[in-house]
Amino acid sequence: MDVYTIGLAGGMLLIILGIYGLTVKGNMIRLILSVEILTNGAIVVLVTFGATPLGVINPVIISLAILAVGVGGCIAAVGLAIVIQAFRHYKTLNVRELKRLRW
Amino acid sequence: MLPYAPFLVWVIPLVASALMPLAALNSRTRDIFPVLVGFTTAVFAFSMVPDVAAGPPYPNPQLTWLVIPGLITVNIGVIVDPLSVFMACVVAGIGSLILLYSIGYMAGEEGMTRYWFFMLLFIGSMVGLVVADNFLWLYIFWEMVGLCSYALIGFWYKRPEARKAGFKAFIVTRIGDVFLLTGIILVYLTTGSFAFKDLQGALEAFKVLPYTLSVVPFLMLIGAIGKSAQLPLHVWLPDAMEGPTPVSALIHAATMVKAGVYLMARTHFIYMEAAPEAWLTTLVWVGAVTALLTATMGLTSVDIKRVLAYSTISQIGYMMMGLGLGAGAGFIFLSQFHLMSHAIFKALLFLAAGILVHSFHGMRDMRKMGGLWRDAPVSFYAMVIGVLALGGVPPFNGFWSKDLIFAAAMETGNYAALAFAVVTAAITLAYGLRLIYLTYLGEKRSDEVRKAVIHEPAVMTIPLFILSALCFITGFTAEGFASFLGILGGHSHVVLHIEPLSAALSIIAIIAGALPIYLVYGRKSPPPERFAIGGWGFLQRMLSEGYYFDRFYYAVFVDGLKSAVQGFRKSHPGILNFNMSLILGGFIVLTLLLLTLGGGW
Repeated sequence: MDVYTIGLAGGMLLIILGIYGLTVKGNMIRLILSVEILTNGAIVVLVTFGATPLGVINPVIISLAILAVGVGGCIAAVGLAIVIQAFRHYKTLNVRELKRLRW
Repeated sequence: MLPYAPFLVWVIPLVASALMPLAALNSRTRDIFPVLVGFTTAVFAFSMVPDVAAGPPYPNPQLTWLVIPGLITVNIGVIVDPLSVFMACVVAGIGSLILLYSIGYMAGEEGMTRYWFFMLLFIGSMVGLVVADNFLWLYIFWEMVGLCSYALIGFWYKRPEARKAGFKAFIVTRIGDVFLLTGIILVYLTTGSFAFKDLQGALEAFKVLPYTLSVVPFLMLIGAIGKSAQLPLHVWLPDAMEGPTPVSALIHAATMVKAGVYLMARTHFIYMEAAPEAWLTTLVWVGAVTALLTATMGLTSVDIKRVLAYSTISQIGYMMMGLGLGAGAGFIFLSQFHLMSHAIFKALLFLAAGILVHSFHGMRDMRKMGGLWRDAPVSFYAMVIGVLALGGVPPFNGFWSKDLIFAAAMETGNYAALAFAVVTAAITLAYGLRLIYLTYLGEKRSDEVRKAVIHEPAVMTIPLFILSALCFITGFTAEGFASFLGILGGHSHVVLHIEPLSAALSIIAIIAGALPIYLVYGRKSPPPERFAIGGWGFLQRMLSEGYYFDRFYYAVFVDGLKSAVQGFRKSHPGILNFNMSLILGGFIVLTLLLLTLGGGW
């Protein structure tokens, strides 16, 4: 197995894990974790495409990946902040019970 | 020219607007700083006049702004020619007077930092719009002007009407903007440059015009129609009266609505190359029809500021018509001369009306006013001068600029447009006088008005005095003004003379407009109430509804769209897991499609 296959398969696995989490779970913190897993799967795929057979690293791709990791961290932070606020107001973490927030 | 004036003239207000939070640390500097900035801008704008008056070549400093190697290079720069300098002077000059007036009008309001910020941003982006030498910057500033007008119309955001009006202005002008952007992109794709100069060169180089370029004029015309509130996109301007009065004055006299006229004047060379006949005819008729229809709407409005708003739309129609008539002969002077007259008398009218609206705490209903001429003498005389200038009574500036448009219509033999222009002139004077009769003459018609104390502080009256004086003066500058601007169209000498016939038409229009109003509101025979019943009543209702344009737009585009969208509402249950399952399903379907069809690639 070459590096592409491993990278793509790993990335795909992470993405599917993320979507599985989003599909099945109802707890908001678990949902945010799933989103993070999904994003990281996408980043793994991105880095895989940037890798060359000789092992030389493409700096553009790596810098983009670092940027994406940073943005992902910010998203998680904002998401958790919203979760805390929602929990304080409604005393629940279950998204099904928060359906009334839908417009 | 002061050093770097073409750049500083718009950079100063933009930077100053960003500095507003600092200036607001002290409540005194907060109000004085923006006014000083306004006058500095005006000084920079006027300092460019002597350089341009000397004639070509005009300075056009440029720098490289955006480079993606091998793909795109965008040079940006400013153009200093008679048209841009003239517009910059109007914007900065009138704008600084309005800023001065705002100190009195907005005293004690909440959110003044926001107000000054957007006023300075408004003036800065409008000046930037008129001095930019390429379409890309013009478009950026165009959008900034739209944003500022949205924020200022909705300045009192706690009032639902103000919020809605700001929203409406933003969305309606956006419709025109999309067309303008399409036009600009087409220009770029065909010529590979955004600059006006390059486009002019490219137009001369083409033997056969590409099809795309002949569409551009009409796309840009729609953009101008949206910004300048011409039919059928005029509905936002009357509602924009919910904003503070200085904002209305700024939007109507100096910024925003003049942007469309400027765009047409700036780019008229494209149209003259691309599709002269069709374009000129469209322009003349858009202007003529708008002028007449909106003038009639002004006849029945009871809101003092709405009357003025309708008159703005109607006068912009005149400018469009003047441009259509003049550009055929190769000069844009007619529309710009009327633009200057209009900027002065419309600022005067709004600021005079603002004194009343301010004293009545935002009440604008003319049915409740009346007999105010003794309480607000400065406002009264300013209003009289403004109305006479608006109605085209000699010797005020409106008479001279309108008369030239009549003369141009006669010379080009466009008698249908001439008829529209003359009838509009009569109606214009009629609603102007009606406004004076209802607000300043007769008796006070409500307790609210009887109790109100009218203040006319010096900061509010000084701009009125200056503008009133200008109303007398600028009418006589046609000759010099034409040689200043006439060079632009390649005509170094434009012969200006008042034709006896067109002057006679003006006089007829004045009499036809003033006499009925005198009979109805002055002598009360027939009394004004008679026009609310029967056939007149039907007409009156139709006019006060603005020919049902607003109703129609609401029914089709607001309520119609809403109910159409509600049809899709059921597919959004709001259950996250359900939505995600659908996404997963779509993902699997896509993968399968890719796997089965992938071999074919």
